Amino acid sequence: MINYLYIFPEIIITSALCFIIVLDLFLPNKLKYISYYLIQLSLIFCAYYIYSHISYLTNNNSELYDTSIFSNIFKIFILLSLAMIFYYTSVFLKYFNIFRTEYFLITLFGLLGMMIMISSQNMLLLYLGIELLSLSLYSVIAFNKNSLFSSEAAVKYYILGAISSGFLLFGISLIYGLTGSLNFNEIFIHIASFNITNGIDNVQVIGLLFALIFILISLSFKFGAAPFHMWIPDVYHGSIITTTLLLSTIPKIAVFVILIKLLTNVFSGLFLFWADMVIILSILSILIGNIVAISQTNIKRMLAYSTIANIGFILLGLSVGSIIGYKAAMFYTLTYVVTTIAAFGLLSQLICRNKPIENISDLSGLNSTSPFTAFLLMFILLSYIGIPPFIGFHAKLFIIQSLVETNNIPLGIFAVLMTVVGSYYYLRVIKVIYFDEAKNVLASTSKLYITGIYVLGLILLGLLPDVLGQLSQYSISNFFNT
Amino acid sequence: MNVEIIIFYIFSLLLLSSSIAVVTLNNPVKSAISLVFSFFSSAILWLLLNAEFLSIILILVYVGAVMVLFLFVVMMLDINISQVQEGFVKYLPIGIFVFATIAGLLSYFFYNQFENSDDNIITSIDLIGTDNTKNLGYLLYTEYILAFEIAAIILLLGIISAITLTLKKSATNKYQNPSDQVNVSKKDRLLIIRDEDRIK
Repeated sequence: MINYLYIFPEIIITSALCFIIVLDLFLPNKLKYISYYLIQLSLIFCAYYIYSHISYLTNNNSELYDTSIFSNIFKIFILLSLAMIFYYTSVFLKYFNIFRTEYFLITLFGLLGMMIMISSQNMLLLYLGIELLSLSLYSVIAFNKNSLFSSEAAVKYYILGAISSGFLLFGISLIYGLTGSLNFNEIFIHIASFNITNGIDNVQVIGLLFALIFILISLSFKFGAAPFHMWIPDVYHGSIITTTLLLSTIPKIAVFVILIKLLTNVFSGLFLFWADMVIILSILSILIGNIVAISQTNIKRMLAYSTIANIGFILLGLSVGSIIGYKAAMFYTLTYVVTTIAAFGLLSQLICRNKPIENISDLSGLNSTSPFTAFLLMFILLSYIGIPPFIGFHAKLFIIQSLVETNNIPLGIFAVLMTVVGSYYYLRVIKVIYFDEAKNVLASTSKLYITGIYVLGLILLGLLPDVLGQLSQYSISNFFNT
Repeated sequence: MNVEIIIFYIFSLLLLSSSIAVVTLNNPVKSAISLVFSFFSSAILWLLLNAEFLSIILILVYVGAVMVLFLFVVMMLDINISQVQEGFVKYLPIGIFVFATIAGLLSYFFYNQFENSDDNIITSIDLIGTDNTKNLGYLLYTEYILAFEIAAIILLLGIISAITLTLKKSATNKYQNPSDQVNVSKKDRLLIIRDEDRIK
């Protein structure tokens, strides 16, 4: 008898999902909020379950499914972030009268996909998790049926996602042909047995490199690293702002975990090769993200390019190839996610002429209409730039520190210079908020208490960077010890 | 040279040529039919590998169900081929370059890897008897039960999102409400005007 209790968090989410699907059918329109609260409750309960049963879960590992502390920490983080995202989504959808429970349910399927991705110890499960996640994202992007942009974005994302899944499958099939296994540990042992020295002197290494390149291309698609970033601006622009919030945050965590697992564990024998590839990806991402963002007038497109630049920084941390670099990359990912939730969440609560915020000029004179909102937005943007007391500063500092410590000083200088370039377009938004004349009357969809508390939490995190620092230190060192 | 190898070469040639036809033919219906043919040839190749269950499933599901639906959709859509092919010459050089690199390196690798080796790394899994179908079922319900369940969840997601995306209850859509139809009364439908009222 095999013990399947290690997937209990996933079982909680799945059963909540099935229950709410059926319940929602019988609820009249006035009571639909009950299913929303039930979804929130199941998210919080699942996070609490993982937290309270963490030692039990880690002791019940299986070959297929990894429930180590490393993956459980990420799962808790994803669950709590999703609860926050759902709050913003429900406020937004209710205000514009397009509230439907299915939106949340489909996203929950995506959550399940991400949890499977994070825990997968097998290429087959990894692929299924990615498919579950992307299928739910396609439908969530197409959710706003009245908008042509939304459908265009969904079709674009669908086609590119299908191609990248094909790349992933091709890479996996090559790996299977070479090593005869789909299991991460067995693949790792096989690659180690090939005895790869400096350079390509073995025919099998060519096959492995092919597989590595195909898998890396596919994951860069999902991650949004340049030169595979083409879909990001269009999709972010086309979908409603809360979907953009969803797209730009938690899927990145899941892909980051997969990258860490594959690159530093399964393909650690091929470090010589993938380090260069990751460096190229990160340099291109930082360049394209920061420079193209300067010319954007739409705030969602601008934040899309800033996402690409941030992903470049995460990859820079990964390319270092030592624990300090991975720790910095994890810190950066967590910081990026909490900051982005605040940024898009705040923007989703602002309305200009009864429409969601679209252009940067819509924000002009925000300070004169609502100084508190302007203040919050300024804090978030300063954190993005990396101004000292805020959390973004520590994230960038750790990345550059890890580069300097491994004697990658040119890359460190490049990162600092690009941060300066990047600060231009964030500062421009602050200038529009504080110094431009108010052209529009801005209002907010609801009271900003929760956003205020959240941003206050961000500032506290910035003052006490050890909280996230210890968390990443703990989970990364745990990952490399097991 | 035994029969198996002759069959292998014939059907791999057919597979290659029909796959090329899928992307090069002008008429989308013809492309779809070549795709059917390439599925059929790969099913034969799977038969040669003793994967009889998979090859029959490929024909039943892909040729029998998916491609028929696909053909219907292609026939119903009015696709402007000249518009689709506009960028063909422009992107041809880079396409040839990418194709040549990948095909060259891969064939070099495959040729050297399997040139002198009779033993494949993947040996056919024989767990409970020689029956391929039984083995597949056994593996699906024991070792890969988790993956199997996740595939079921993916299907559930497919159903829910398809319904959510296509079911519309907007004002522009026309749909019937049976209970309203049944509960209709004479007054709603019929306006009775007396002659005297009209004269006044």
